[in-house]
This record gives sequence, structure tokens and C-alpha cells, in this order.
Amino acid sequence: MQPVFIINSSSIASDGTVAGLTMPAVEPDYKEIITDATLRRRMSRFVKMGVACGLECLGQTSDIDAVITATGLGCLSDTEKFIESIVVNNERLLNPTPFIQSTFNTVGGQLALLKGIHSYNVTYVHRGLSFESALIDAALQVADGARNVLVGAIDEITAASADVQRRMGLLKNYPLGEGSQFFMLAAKADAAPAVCDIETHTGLIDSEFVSVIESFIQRNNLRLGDIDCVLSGSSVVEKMFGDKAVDFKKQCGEYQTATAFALWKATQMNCANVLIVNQYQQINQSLILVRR
Amino acid sequence: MRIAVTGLGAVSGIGLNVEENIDALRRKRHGMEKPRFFQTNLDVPVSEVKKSNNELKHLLGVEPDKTVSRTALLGMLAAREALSDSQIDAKAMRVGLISSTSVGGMDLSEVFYNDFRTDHSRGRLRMVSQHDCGASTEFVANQLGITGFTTTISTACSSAGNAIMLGARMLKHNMLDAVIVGGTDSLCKFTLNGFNSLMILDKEHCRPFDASRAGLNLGEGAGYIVLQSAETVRRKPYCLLTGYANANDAYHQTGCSPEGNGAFKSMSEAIAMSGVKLEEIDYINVHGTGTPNNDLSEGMALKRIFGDKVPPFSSVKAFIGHTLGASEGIEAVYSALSVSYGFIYPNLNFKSPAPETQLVPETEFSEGHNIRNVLSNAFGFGGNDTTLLFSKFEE
Repeated sequence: MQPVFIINSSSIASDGTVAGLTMPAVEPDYKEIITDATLRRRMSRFVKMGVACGLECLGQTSDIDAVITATGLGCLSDTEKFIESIVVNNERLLNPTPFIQSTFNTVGGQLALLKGIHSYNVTYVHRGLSFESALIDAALQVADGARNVLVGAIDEITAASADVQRRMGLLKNYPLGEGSQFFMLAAKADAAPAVCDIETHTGLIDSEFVSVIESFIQRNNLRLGDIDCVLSGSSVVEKMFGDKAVDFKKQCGEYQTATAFALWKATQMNCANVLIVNQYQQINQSLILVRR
Repeated sequence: MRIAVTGLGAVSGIGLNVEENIDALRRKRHGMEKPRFFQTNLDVPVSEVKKSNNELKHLLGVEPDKTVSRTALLGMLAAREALSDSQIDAKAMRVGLISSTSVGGMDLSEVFYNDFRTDHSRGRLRMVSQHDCGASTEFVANQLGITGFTTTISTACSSAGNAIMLGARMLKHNMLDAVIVGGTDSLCKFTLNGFNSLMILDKEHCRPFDASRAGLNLGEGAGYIVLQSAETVRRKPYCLLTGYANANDAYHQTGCSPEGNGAFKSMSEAIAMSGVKLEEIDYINVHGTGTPNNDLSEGMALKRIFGDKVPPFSSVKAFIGHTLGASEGIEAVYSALSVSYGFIYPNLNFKSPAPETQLVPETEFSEGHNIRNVLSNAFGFGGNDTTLLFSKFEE
């Protein structure tokens, strides 16, 4: 693929503090970012996190040609609130607000609405590959001539979700995480990191994943030794890369769009070649190559 | 690259496959009635797929005691039909699956939540493990043996249109050789109550584009098409996908702008991309949900583009209901057949035009027309507007 440059980025994430089963994001003062008080009050934490993070990344940039968002589980708190009201009120006289705000594309829609962006707008919801899918779409947009492409991810912790995921055994290795990261992508930029390749898989066993990583590196005309840092969310990586591997999920926790946090980490590093290797549970595997 | 449509699959309240769907449209037999399988206290008509989950599992060869969301079951049925229709060799090519849904496994999550809500240690986990939208897509991929690129899109009611667009773009970038694209959604309390709380459900049978229209009826189903380069086909394509566009109305989270800005932009851009002249568009499959807001906004956008020469158009929503994330999947199937066989579908329940637009849809089924190009719209919450343009295939 043609490299896409990250000309701006923003993040709302955990500071690494573990609270029981979870690693909650450190949230900004939303009043400063989402200034309309009525609008802000209607927004759930998920929507506030995503909209605030998206607005931060947009900054003063105009000419946005695409808004692409990703989420693993969407607006969980509003979803729970609406299901609860269906049960409690026996399907009668329900408040529509949580339903409206529970749609997976709420953040993308709100960003378009707030900034008057009439261009391409899509939301990806594919488990541990949601953000990777959004990034692939964003790279295609740039390749097809889009000037500024906003791409980002959001997932939130709720008490119910933490309990369900604990019972399913999904929190054995890391606490449940959450957060939002957004990136402004463009075809050209000086001295900016670039996403140079992305690959997604489902259901690979460890040995298959190892050979996928090797051929991915080869395909990009690199050798294993050329990789300066590996942001890892997969156990196969340590064996391959030794102390070059940094376990990013120790900083953000485990959730479907944690690779958006890893990409944000990559933008903060001064390394020539950063490889993001992720495994979401035993389900999805992904690779993202970031170069400077 | 010319993008050919080579496979079609549809399941809806009017049929379990493409043939049954077209037969019902031809006979003006709609699927709207009181729900048989789906449990709700709301007294509204819905277009339900007329098979129980166990009957669907039997059709698919899925074990009866295996927990599978209805969204996944409907998706598996339609995608299987589309893949087999395309005659592609899925083992010899890079075949992808891009599916869309707005509810995912919500039908199961609702059951889980009943037990879970008062005690978080209760509720069967297998009932909630398919809550996320990607689960239904992975069931479809497994059923079809698809190991290539797989993803899920959710942009409310325009979802499947965006899945079709991404598929075409990935083919053009040589990331795939063929791709199954479309969407699936089952009825559930969540969406039925959601639309009811917004007061946009009609208690009667919906009346798209009619002056008296008072809301939409929900439906369920799935629709997929197979796209591939016209150079690699193994059968005569139904048509080509020559235009597509996604625009945002940026007006309101759930409502459309009265002048139809987003719809105007998505239709104009899809037409511009395909390069066809306005007078070469012979039929429009409108989104036409039957809500006062949608049909007015869409009608205004049609008038802005076509002036007083709006091509023959109709909404199929009174047959199959609004199937949300599946809607453009099913309607893309109908649109492809319209180009292929010259079909024009009837818009049921139309009596008199809306005073603002005076637009009159087609009300009878007819066939054998020379349909060069069909425009197909899907609009959704979040201001999402997607338009596809299907064109006649010529060797």
C-alpha cells in the first residue's frame, strides 16, 4: 500500500492505573472541548470521549474528505440503558435519547454535525479488527485522492461489560481497558510518521501468526533486525523480538480497539520502524507498520 | 476496472431466496403482519422472515442446539445463495466478505439481559457472546469457508450500501479478486422500541411517498451481492456497479434536512462517478421509508437533481419493511435484477402525492423495460447517505 502520513493525533487513555478489573481512561474537562452544554449533557461518556478526541484531532483543519470511526462494542452504556428501560417500562413510553445515541456511528455522525462535514463517513465494528478496518479504508481514501482523512476509535468500560468479560475469561491477561484515539491522515507530510502497511487475520494459531509476521516484514523489504520497536499485544512476539517488544496493553488494558492506542504510542516515538503486533483474544490478529 | 455483479442472495419477509422475493414483488404480496416468532408487546405490523430459528438452522445444516443469533442465520442463508450464484471458485481466488448489521446479536443479548440485570453472575454467557456486530459476520465467513479479508460496517440504515462501496474500492485496489458484500439484521425489541420511542413507526401498513404517510414498518432479512472484476467472471454478470458515493447530511442525528442536502450530494456524486447522463437513468429504487421526514427530504433531492423529469421510481419498504442494516443489501439485489431483466417494482399503498413534491411512484410491477441504469439510495441515522448506481453489462 501507499504510505499514509499521520499529520496530527489525539488520545484519551488510561495512565496505567488499574482499578479492580479495569483501566479507566483519564478524561479531559469536556466543557473546554464540547462547549454546547445541552449537547454535552445528552452525550454518554462514550460519545463525549469520542467526540472530544475527534475534535482535538481536527483542530482548525478544514477540507476533511473522510471521517472514519471504529468501535468494538459501541455505545454500551446507552445500549444498556435502553434495554433496561424496555424491561422496566414493559416497552411503553420510552425515552428515545439512549436509543438515538446507541447507534454505532454516533461519534462519526456527531463530528460531521458539529463541524459541518458533508464528506464520506463510515463506522467499522469488527471485533479486534475494527480499527484496522478503519485504517485500511482511510489509506484507500488517501490513495484515491482524499486530502485530510480523520480516522479514530472509541470503546468504553461499563460495569456490566467488565462483569461479562471477566466471566467469559477475557480478562485473564490484562484488565479491561477503554479510550479513544484519532489521527489525521494525508498523502504527504514532512517529518511525520507514516502507516506503511496493515494486515488482518482471523483465527490463526501461534505458529501461523509467526510466519505471517515474518512474511509481512519481508514484504516491506525489511529484516527482523530492522524493526526498532515492537508494540505488542500478543504473546508470540516476545519470543521473536526479545526486549524490543513493549507490551502496550499493560498501559491501556485489553479491548477491541486497543491498537488505536498502540498507533498513538507509535506516533510519540522517535523510531525508524515500529511494528504493532496485536492479537485480540484468540480471535483476531493484526499487523501495522509505522515508519519515519 | 469494471466491477461486475455476478451473484445475488436475498432473504426477507417476502421470501427465503431471490426467486421467492421477485415472485412476491410481481404478485404484490407483501410480508407485513403481526409478528409470529418475535416477541413484543407493541401492536405494530412487521415484515418478519416466515421461518423460526430452528427452521433456518435446518435449512443451513446448523445443529439445532447451537446458539446462533437470528442476524447470523439470515446472513448465512442470503450470503450462501449469492456465493453459489456467482459460480466463483472461492478456493482459487482472494475472496473477501464485507457485511453490515445494525443490531448484531441483540436478539440473544435481550434474553441474556433478562437474567443478568438484577444479578451480574446470572445469564448464560453463550447468549451474550454474539452481542458484537462482528460475530454475525464471522458466522457467515465460517459457513462459506471465506478466509480472506473480512470486516463489518455499521452506519445504521445505510450500512449495506457502505459495505458494497468498500468491496468495490478494494477490488479496484487489487486487494481482493472477488467480494461478498451486503448486510443482515433481525427484528429485536431494541430497534422496534427504539423507532417506536422516536414515534416514527406507523401502526398501519406504511405508505411510502404518499401524502398520508405516517411512519415506517420494520422488517428483517439479509441481502448480499458478489462483486468481481468483469475480466474474471465465470457467468454473465447481472450488471455493473458503475457509481457509488457516501455523503453526510450533517443536519441532525436522526432526521434529514428538509432540502435533502446529503441525499442530493450522494446521488449527484454517484451519477458523476459513473459518467451517465441524467436521462439514461431509467429507474430509481428510493430509500422511501414512509416517514414524513425521509420521503420529503429524498423527494426534494430528486427534484433538485432531475427537475420535472424524475425517472420512474418506487420504494419496496411496504413489501419488506425497513430492514435497517440489511436494507441496501436486499435492495441492491432488486436493483441488479431491475437492470438485468428490466423489472420495475410497485410502491404499495400509494394514493396521492405529497403536496411539496407532487412525486408519483410506480405502483405496478412491470418487466421487459430497457433499463440502462438504476440508482439506489440508502440513508441512515448519523446523517449517513449512500447511493449506488448499477448499469447494464455489455461485453
